[in-house]
Amino acid sequence: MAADPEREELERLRRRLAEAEDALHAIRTGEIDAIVVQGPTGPVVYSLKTADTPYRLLVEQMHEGALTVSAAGVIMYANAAFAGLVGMPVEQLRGCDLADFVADPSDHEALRLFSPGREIRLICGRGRETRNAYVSSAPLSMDESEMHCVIVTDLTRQELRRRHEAIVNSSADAIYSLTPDGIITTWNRAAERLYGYAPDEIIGRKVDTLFPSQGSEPDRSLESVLQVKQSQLETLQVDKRGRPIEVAISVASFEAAGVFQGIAVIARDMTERNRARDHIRLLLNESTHRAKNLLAVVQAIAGQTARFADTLDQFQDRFAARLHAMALSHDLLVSEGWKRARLSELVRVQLETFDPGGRVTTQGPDVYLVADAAQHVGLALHELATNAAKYGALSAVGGAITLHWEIVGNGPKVLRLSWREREGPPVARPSRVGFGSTLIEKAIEHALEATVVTEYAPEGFSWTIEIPSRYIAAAPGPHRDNH
Amino acid sequence: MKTSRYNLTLFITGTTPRSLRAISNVRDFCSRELADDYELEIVDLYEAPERAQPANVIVAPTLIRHQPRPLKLLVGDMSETARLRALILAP
Repeated sequence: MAADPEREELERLRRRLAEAEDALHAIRTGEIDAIVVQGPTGPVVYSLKTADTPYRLLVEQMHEGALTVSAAGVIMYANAAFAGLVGMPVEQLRGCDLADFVADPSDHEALRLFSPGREIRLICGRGRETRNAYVSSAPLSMDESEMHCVIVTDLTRQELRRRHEAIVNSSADAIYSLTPDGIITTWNRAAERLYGYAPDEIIGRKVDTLFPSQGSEPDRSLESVLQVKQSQLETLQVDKRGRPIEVAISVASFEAAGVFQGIAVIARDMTERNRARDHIRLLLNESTHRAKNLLAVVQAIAGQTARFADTLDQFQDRFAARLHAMALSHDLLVSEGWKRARLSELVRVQLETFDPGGRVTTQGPDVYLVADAAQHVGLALHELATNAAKYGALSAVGGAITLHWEIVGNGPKVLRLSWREREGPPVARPSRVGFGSTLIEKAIEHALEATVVTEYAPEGFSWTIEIPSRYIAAAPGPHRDNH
Repeated sequence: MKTSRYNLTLFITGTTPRSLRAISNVRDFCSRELADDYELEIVDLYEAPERAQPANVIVAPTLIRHQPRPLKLLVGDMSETARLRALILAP
């Protein structure tokens, strides 16, 4: 009976041995995660490879340099980022003195003290080039030996990034970037100005937001941007308020390690430029038209002046005076971008040479005339003043003229302008109809669809014209338009 | 109260992939082969390291068969069904 317990014991020991061998085998072949060991204060679980793999990977992947350093400053471990920073293979870094990578000897002591954070110059690469780096460290308790965990941030790279950000933000063009599927990821200040969205309103949204919606039809420019089909295109986008904006877009894809990472978009506001271009076109057409008109008017004035001139000298004098009067009206129109002329100014420039003594009294509201009306009224004023100087109130001592204008009419408004002479020589209707009287009566009536009344009353000559309100121009806005 | 025929304890460490595989393999095996006639306790050694020594456990994952006797022990992620079967079902 004694043999049985022995056999059982033997069997039990065999099994234990087999289990122990199994465990050893599992440890050797890496089939386990942890070993439990009896420590002085109780059982301790020691993790093996897989347990700390996530942390290890994290440290390996981080952009900052990470090191473990002994109390004496010897590098025990360095990650790839630090190796890249100092330009040495990871394997060669183990065992090196950290101080060998610090340019300024005065920083060595600080490193040994392991200050919480400090900027130092780091020696990088074989060329002994130096870079600014931010170093911080923390004590790391590992067994009995004193270790430190050191984090090194490359400030040169941060500086570069800051510089790039500053350039992008100071750009007058809108710059933004997209993920490959069109989600907006960055947004500069010019983009904020152009589209009206603050960065936190637009980042994370689809770039479709910036394109006009076309129902189910995808916008062709949007497609072109997302597929980086064209590097340059002009298209219409919409801002936050839904207003269309004409933009010139540059599109580029960016890659990292050969993989498509996203799209960079630069958009330039073309609204102003296109408006200016259209305005120039309009002005070109206008000036061609005006030049033709002007030549026709000059031709007519020349013909009419010649018809009523008795001598060549007379023709030359009158023709020159009339051209000068036209030029004065033109100057006024040019200063207002060919849009309008202020009536009080027109009166002033036309009359000032005839009235050095201030015998013409003017009165009227601040009114602007459109270009056509300004030319005709200018010429009429010139003729009226010429006649007054030759035969009327300005030809006699004590003679005076009142020029008065107002806007009247119960129904359609008209501009009424009246020229009244008094205290001049005796008034008589001219014996023959000259160009001057043709111009102040027939020509202007015809050109401006106006009503003209001339009176050769005994107390003085008077001329009254009523011009339809459509020849009155709007006053310029607070920002004067110089086009 | 009914006593189950098979009484097992699986020792693991946290949520490592091997621990998770061991749990899944043992659960699958038990529900497939032992019907309802078993009790399985899972012990996380990070939470209860004091449970290791009395059970003679020195590594994780480890599966222990307390019942039926004799007490037996298997190490690893329990992916080899034949060894698992031998541990649990063989006398």
